[in-house]
Amino acid sequence: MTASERRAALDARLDEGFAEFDGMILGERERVQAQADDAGSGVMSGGGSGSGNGGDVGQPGGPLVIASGPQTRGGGIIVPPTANGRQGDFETTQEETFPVPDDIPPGANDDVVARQLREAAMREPDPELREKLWDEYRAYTGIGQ
Amino acid sequence: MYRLYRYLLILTLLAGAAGCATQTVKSTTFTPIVEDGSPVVEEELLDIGIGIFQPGLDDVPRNREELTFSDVRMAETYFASYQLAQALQNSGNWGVVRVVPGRLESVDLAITGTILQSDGETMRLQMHVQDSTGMTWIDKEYEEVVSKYSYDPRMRRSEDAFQGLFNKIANDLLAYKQRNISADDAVNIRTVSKIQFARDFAPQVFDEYLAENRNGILEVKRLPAQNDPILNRIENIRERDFLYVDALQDYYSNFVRQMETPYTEFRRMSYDEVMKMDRLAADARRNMIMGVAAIIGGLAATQSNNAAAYYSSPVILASGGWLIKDAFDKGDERALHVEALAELGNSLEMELAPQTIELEERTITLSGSVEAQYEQWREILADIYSNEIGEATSSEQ
Repeated sequence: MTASERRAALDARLDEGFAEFDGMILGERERVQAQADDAGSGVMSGGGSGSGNGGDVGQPGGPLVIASGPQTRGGGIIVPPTANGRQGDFETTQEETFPVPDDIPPGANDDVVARQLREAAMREPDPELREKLWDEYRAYTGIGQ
Repeated sequence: MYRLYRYLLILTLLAGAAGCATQTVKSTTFTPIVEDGSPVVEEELLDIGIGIFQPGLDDVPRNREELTFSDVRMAETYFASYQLAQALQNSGNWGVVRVVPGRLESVDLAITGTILQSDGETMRLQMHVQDSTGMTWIDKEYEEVVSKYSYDPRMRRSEDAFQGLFNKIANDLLAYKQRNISADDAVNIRTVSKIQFARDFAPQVFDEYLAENRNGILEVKRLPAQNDPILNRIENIRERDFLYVDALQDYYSNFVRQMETPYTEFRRMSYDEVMKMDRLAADARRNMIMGVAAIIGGLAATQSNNAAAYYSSPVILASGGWLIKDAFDKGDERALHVEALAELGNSLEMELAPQTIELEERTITLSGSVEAQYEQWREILADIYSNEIGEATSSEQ
């Protein structure tokens, strides 16, 4: 066998190994995916666990995350999109705030609990819940008593 | 008499200090994730590998031993590692971020951690981050103490109660990179990781491409040729390694999904119990000190020449006795909360232990198969290299 024939044979063995390996890994991933599907959760791509899609604390069945496909590196420029531009992204910066009721004074003298109540109320999009949070704030700080 | 009054004063001060110790400073400001915002060239994006955190069961503070359950802690190591990976991935500041069970040498940035404390109220992590050259980026302890509102469903928080802690770590990592790592540094780190990986599979080829300087930092001595055939084959292997690590992420994400609800519920309930226990312990301690102080004061009054002090001494003694009794009662009540928490913890352990074992077995099985395949490829590459050396020698002759 010449050197190039030997090299070709070794490369063929490598390729065989690659095919076997790919089959093993993909089969394993399909099995895990099927398990996740049986559990009845949705699948998010891109690995965004618990990222603002109804996975409330204390409630069953949070969003499922199956890691996306092989994360191989490509070329070119990647511009990280803004928080609001990515589906299923973790909502942190640029959150909408809602106006403070007229009877609520500035929070300069708030202690840690009052401050957290205030921040939660200002961020709450549901008007009913928002009013309940302000009621909690009023009760805690003694406003109107 | 003077010694009695001095002792009384010391005890009164201790009681006051015990009262102060009941005040807990909590952080209520949530730490959002910081995004770099500026365009990142792909060649400078650093990948991150996070090792499964150590459980830190040897480092549990004594006053938290009864709140620590080893099987829950083992599950937490996967949970916390995964949560950090998600925070980093979602920041968009890095390349691929994955939890890996070992072999962090050929990753651009390797993160390891130990859970020092985790009890529903407090999470404390010891974190270490270094890049593939061996440079340490971060080596410090992180702590977050949450309030009850972190577990209040009305707050509509979809993220973990300790998400702020993971975000803080991610933000510190970004801050370090922005301050200390230039574009050339990033490219260098990536090159070193690439050669590290290649060295693992073909040491006879790539051993001399890296060298450690006198500070223990790896430096690139030679760059492999872009069209190096051995390197091209190793690139194919590296792609498979990424596939394998992605498969592990499936395991971890499944595991985290399964454990998230009971674990979060456990943390919420253990938070309540921890608060009550701490309050009772502090009250008991304070009452014990004050009770003893009162008894000593009463004894001192019985020996006083002052009529008012003398006739009030029975009252003082009686109240001291009551305080001590109350301290013991509070101690007993605290023990009930400890028991309640132990039941919660044992129940969660029973639920998590089989899942953790299954995860570990699957990981070991897959990793074993992968490693066996890698060994075959190492042998093939060695044969290819020998063949090429032989061919080159023949050509020269």
